[in-house]
Amino acid sequence: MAGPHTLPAELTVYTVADALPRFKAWLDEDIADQGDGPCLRVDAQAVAEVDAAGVQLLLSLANSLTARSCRLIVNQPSAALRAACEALGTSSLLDAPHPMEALP
Amino acid sequence: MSTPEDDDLISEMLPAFMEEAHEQCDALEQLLLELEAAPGERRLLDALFRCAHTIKGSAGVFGLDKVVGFAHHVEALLHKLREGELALTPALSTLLLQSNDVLRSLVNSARDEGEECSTVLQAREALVLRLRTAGQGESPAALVADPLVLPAPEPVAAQGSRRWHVSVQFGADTFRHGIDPLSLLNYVRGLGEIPFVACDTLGVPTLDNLDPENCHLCFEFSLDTSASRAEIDNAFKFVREDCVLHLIEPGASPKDFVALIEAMPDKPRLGDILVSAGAITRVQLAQGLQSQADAASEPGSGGVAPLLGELLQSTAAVSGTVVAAALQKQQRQRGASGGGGDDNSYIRVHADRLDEVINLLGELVIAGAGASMLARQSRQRGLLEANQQVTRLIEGIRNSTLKLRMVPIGETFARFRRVVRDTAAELGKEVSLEIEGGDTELDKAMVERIADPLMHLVRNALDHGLEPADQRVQSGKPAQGRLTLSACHESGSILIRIIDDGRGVQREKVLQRAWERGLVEQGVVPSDAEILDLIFAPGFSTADTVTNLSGRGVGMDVVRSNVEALRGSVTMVSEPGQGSCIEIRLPLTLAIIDGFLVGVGSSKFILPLDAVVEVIANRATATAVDASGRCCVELRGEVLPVVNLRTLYALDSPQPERSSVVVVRAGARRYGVQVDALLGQHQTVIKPLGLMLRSLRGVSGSSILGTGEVALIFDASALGQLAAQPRTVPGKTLRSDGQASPIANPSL
Repeated sequence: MAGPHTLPAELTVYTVADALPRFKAWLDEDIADQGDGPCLRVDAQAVAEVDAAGVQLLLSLANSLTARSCRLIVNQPSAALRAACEALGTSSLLDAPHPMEALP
Repeated sequence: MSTPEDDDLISEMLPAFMEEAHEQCDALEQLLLELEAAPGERRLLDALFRCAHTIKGSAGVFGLDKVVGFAHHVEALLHKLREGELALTPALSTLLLQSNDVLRSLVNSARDEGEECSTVLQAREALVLRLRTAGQGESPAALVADPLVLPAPEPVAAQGSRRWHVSVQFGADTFRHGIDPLSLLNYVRGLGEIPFVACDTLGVPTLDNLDPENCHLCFEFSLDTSASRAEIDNAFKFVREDCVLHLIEPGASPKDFVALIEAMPDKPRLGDILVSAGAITRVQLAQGLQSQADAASEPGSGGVAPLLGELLQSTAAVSGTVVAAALQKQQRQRGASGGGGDDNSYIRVHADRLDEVINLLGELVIAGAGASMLARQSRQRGLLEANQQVTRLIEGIRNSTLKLRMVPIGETFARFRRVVRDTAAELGKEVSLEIEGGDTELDKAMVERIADPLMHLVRNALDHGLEPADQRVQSGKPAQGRLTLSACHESGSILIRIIDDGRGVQREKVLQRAWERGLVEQGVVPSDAEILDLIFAPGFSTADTVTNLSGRGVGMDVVRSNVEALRGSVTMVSEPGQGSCIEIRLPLTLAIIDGFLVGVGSSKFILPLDAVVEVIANRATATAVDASGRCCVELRGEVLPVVNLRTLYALDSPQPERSSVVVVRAGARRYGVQVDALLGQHQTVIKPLGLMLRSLRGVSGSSILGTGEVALIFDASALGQLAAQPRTVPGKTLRSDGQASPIANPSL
């Protein structure tokens, strides 16, 4: 299992360009299977400011992991991140194994 | 939004849904039982979730709200299990098994339109409460159900507001123009309520292909508002040039949504999203998209849009068969030719149609045999070769057609896992069930008819055979008893064994009971095999108490008669203190066999080819025979008992000077059958014996040869047993019963 890695306090259109190479580096780490499937854990309790661009970057990370047959697990999402995902209809990022299974 | 056409389509497709839903429920049960032995196994947890998910999705197509609602709770609990938020305990496993039973009964009642009785409703609500409580990590057991505590109903649009559907695809430069879709949606919320919003998450590229300052977001949402179209449109005025906006009015027709999907061909999940939003039913979507596909495939139209099958199956929420049926129905309605367009590898065929084909095939085999015979008589080379080709093709069709009816017995065996689990728990015994040879195939009709006898034998083994744990430990055995169900092919038959490592049959008790019941003359001690056979006598039971499961003595004789009705046999082998093994031998199919044709005088007989080991041809007819026409020959240093069919069946023709012996295998034994002529291999359709001839022993059916003659087909095992029985009156063996045997066996 790789991680947990920490999401930055600000995940907005102003910081996503800087966050992208860091996220890419996480992908390059060895994601091992610890019994519940290969997954990348990220800690989101520090996220205080987030907009649609930030959520889009997280979706991109999740899609990248899926392409590698891995999952994204977001630990301790902050209230701001929860509210943003709920408003954008992407709560599955925080609850389900992968956004692909968000819809019934 | 359903129309009369939808109702017709649903009614026609409902049986397919019910059958598939039952398969999912069966799979769910098996997975749960497997999971009890391997609680954390990811593969099982994922598969469990998919079963519940598929049932829920397919039920949604048909508007089966009760099934959807209940399946949702099961799915939610399975999701928590899968995520590791809950551990599988025995109580939780029992709750899920009970919930699966309720799902089955809900699927069964899918056709019922009447009101549900309050008892059933309350019981289900209590189970829902237990599921939800278990989902919160509390014990699911011993919860007093409060029927008044129900999940809150889904909110409806507020008075005066109408539900719009909004589709917005933001352009790449949205972020650069200072627009935040999150803020925009929050602003739109100010116009009313957004009960549902979905984002096309798959439209976002992976990190390698992403420019994070480009916007790739696309949303579908419902908006309950009293605002006008202009007012809603106005909310998007600052992004109007940066997005593609579709506003679909309340009460819009499915065509409007199909047009929306057509407008965005690069959003493959759009169909799913719209259905989830409640904007369109899956049936309407299927019809609409089929028309889209038809139009796209017309010459000069350009590319082909994604078909419904791909759209809906991508989330595994709707079964392929249901989807394919919807598309096929649409195509029939339009008079279009060709298939449903999906690439499922299975086709459901009504069993009656298959039986009709097999019947015709049987007649074809007979007609082919007749043609072969005439071709041989004509001695025309060209005709002979052509006929050989036809025979090869008929054989090929025969093999393929018979395979259509073959199903693995493992599916039947797997049902017993639940029976063993629950029955062992009821009896307070620990039992493990092992299944061997589950992929052994036999005719579907046979599988259905053997299920009940097998059930009785399994329950019997659990009740009588296997001891409680403390008794087993005292005897030096492991506390957990072992019950094995095995199946294999042997000598043209299928051999099913039920083996337990329990206490075995206690001969003294059986004999005592037989004396008491008058089944055996007082004081007479039959052979070991005959004592074990007594267990199959009607009314025989050595059980001291009658339990719910067994002990009334009405089971084993019914098992035998059911098996014999299938042209099979059942025997028992037992070792006191070690365990018992019941063997059921059945023909592979009731329809056609490969046989070896032999002649005795003017009569023709057929031996199952798989039972024929070898032939000793053209030897001097043995003269040292007993009163029953039996003799022995030496075969490679071993003595082989040989039966003379002429004597056994009292045939009148004179014995020739030279005859042949066909060596036949019946189980572990071998014996020889003396015949006048060897007529070679002969594939044959089995015709059942008429009522008058049903009591014939050793004969399992008849066949019509190409010449029009009738040949009797032997059952190798039964023939061997018949030949082995001592006779007092030679030649009169077949219709008499109880001769020279200490056992008055009414089954003779």
